[in-house]
Amino acid sequence: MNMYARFLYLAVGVASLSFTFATIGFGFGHTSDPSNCRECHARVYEEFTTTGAHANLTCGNCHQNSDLDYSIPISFNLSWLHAPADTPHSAISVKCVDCHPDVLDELQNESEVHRRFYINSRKLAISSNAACIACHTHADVDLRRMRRAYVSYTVSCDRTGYDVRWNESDELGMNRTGFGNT
Amino acid sequence: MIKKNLKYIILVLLIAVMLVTFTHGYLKTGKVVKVTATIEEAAVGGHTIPHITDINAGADRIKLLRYPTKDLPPNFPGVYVHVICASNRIEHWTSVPYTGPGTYNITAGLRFMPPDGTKVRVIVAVTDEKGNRIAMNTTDAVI
Repeated sequence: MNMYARFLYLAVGVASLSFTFATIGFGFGHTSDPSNCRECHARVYEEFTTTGAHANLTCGNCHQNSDLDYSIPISFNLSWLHAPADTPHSAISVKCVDCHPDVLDELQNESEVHRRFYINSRKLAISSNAACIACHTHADVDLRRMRRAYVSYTVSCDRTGYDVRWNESDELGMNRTGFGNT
Repeated sequence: MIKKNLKYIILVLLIAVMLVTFTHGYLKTGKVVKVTATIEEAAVGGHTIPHITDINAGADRIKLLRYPTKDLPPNFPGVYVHVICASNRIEHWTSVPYTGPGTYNITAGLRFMPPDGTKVRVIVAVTDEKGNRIAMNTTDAVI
């Protein structure tokens, strides 16, 4: 076989394989390699791959990060990437309630037991997932459990009878009794 | 005889494989979710905050050769689309750059193909340059 024929076979072979992989490859998106994330997020990785309802998911299922590849240990000098080693990469997280909207519906109920915790967590936390993560992961959260020293109700009365409502505010308020015009 | 023509047989087979795979990718289509989102901006406390005022979502089909997969690189800031089916996110990461108020057309490829007529929840979110979600809205769609 002469040189020209060998080159022709090689070219056709490479082209065929390229087309094949390119074609069947469509539909298979780039998936983030969890081991890259593990370099810096080892605790989260260990927890999610061993316990819980999300054990079959990979990091990329819920997170999308910037285009830099952070597979390199952070001790490595990243100056050539114009990315200081101590600069966290931009990342997007889906919200827990994105996939679990029923929880959000339940939290609309004023008597739902986690409602105040969720609302207050959202006011304070950097992520709206923090309230969920506090109890549904092993993440360290500084929780101070306190019980109420009192129970507060708002009671009103009209012609039809008493209307008793749970007072969610932390204010103790005053015991007041009023009567409507009769 | 066969040995003599083996190189031609291999050549024909390779070309046939190439043609079949290319044709398969060109003719076969996959389901996508096409989303049109209208975003307005409002001034709140000296800052401008986007509001997603309207979402239209529906199913369409695209040839596999053009099928959208994960956006690389992702967009910061960006307009992102999530498709939720049975408590699972089924779309490839899909985004377009956020450039201000206007109408955004986004086509999201699906990692899992639900049966026709499946009801899904479509979420459109705007994220800032750090990836924080600064606006979102949802709608239901049947795909």
